[in-house]
Amino acid sequence: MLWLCLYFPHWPLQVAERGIKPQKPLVLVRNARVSHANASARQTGIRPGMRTAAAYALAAGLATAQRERSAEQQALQRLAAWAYQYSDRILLDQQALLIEAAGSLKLYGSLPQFIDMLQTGLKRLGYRSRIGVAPTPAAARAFAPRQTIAVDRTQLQQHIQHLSPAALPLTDDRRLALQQTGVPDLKTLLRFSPAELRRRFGSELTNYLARLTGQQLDPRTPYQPPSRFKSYLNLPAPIHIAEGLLFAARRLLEELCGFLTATDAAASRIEWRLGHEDHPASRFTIELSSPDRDPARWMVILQEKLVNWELPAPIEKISLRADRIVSHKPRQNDWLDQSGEKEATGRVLERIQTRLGKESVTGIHHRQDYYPEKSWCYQVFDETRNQSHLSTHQPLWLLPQPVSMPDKPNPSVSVAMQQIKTGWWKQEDWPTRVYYISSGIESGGLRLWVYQTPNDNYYLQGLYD
Amino acid sequence: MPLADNTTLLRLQQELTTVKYRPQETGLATGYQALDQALPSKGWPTGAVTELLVPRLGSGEFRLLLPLLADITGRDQWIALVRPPWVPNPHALAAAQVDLRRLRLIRAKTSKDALWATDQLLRSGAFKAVVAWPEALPGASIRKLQLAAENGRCCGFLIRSDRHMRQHSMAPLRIHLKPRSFSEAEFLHNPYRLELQLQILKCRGLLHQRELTVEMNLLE
Repeated sequence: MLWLCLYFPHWPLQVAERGIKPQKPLVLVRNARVSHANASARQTGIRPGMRTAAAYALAAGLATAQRERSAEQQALQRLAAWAYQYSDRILLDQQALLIEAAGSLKLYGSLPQFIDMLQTGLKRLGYRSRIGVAPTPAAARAFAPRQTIAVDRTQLQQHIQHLSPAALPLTDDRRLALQQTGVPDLKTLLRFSPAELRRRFGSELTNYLARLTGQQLDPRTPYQPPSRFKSYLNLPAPIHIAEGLLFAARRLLEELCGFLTATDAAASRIEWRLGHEDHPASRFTIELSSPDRDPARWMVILQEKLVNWELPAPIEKISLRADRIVSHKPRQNDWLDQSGEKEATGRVLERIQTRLGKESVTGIHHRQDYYPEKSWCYQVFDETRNQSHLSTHQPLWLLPQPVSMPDKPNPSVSVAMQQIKTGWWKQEDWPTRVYYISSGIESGGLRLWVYQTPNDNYYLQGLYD
Repeated sequence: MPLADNTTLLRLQQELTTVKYRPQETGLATGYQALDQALPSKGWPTGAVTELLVPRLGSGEFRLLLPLLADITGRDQWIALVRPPWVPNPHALAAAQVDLRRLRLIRAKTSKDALWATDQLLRSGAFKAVVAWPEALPGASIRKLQLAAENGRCCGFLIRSDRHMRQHSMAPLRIHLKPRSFSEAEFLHNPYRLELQLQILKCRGLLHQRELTVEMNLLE
């Protein structure tokens, strides 16, 4: 087995920084003091431990946020869900993920290629990581901060010896205890027999070393992906225009689509929730004509949606959820074009629906009713349907409802064509209609479809064209 | 000082001749022999918008397009109608062999929305023909629609009032349509017969205006 560790340096900052562009200075604050400062903030002279007020004085556009440990843990969970698309053996660690890579390498080519792909993917999600590789998960994790790569046992033995005890991902107490014994590197430590180790440093460190070298198996249970997706981003600086959301939204979409790919699933409906400070949250959903997991497809629709959208208040938080997740099927829907070079029919129509409303795109079909005003409906039918069985004497255009005509049509240019007297079984006094094709002087040569009721009222129902 | 010397003029003249007689891509059959023959592309031009100018909506201009729409949907390709003035009768369309499963209607609320949707549809390449009834075409919108149709290799139709006939237009093909007036006796003899007079006002690759008459039966 070969384990690849993704280690996220400055993890609390990375989580807080995701919603903003990296050039912006950002600090995390605890008890009115800076606890973490990102690179842009450090450039202005801000250092951890500084008073927040002092930090504000140093950087004009400084964004501040509270550290949220639960958010950090959730973010790691979501990253695990994303990484699940590359391997079904994922372990969660402190500020790190472990991926069993031996199986993935067969699929994704060489190790450098695989690493490259992971780094690109993480960058798109808005994360930076350092990568370590080793035959055991513990060693991969220990190697990651210094980006060490050991692909077999020999290399593992070699590199372990040079690890400094200070670099081991142990609890602070243990690390301190280890440093106090004056052990300079692991080479020295590994010379002790297991019994001696246990006596001098306790069983926790002994077991850890055994897992590091592979003498003991890692007991952790692999990560299991959830069946629905939910993620959010806190925006360190409030966003005032809807289009400004696209940056943060894209990161959430990348995450969702990674999750869907990982679980071999797709979604057709996602919900956005935009949190405001002094205003109830805004919500909207986006729907696709068919389930998908291509972030670009969602993005296009989101853009259309946001173009015309007015914010009730600045946005501080953006969340995305997908509850209806279905198993992924390759597209073969007839809404979509097979050739691939053209844009699919469904996509253009989706875009139009997003901007002009769901009702704006429809089909037209016939219904079984003898009264023309009821014999059609705005509806999409893609499956085979029986063709119209009705008379073809009907005109090309119908009025949505018959319109009463003030004057009787000129009889010299009207020809009676059919009678409709069905419907009598529904209602005793259902009036019989006599239909005419008529061409009045008024209509300038247009041919009208008119009917007459028994009490001599005339109605215009359609036009011939 | 002369504006250009003789050789330059000669060269320009030669270039103009080649431009004029550049063979055109074959269009889509209109379903009317006389019309196919009159058009240099031997049919409705693709990758272009065609303006149909009419004295009143419902003069026969949409019926003129039915053979094309039937042909396209019959080949499993898509057509769209953008904001038609009335409800297209599904019974009549089906009778004209238009496959309703390949037809989409865009019911935009405003003329501006309709124009935007038309542009999207023309541009997408997903629709073979798009018929729109624009109320107003501000400024350079025809030019924009023309570029969209070129981009999507689409056959676009703009049905408009002939009030706009004298307006300059970037559409490569403009046709004025008028139903021939008929006497009472003619009407009573066959009320379903329609003669449509077509005047090709402008057509890429055609130097002069042309006129022709197309006969249609309202029940076919």
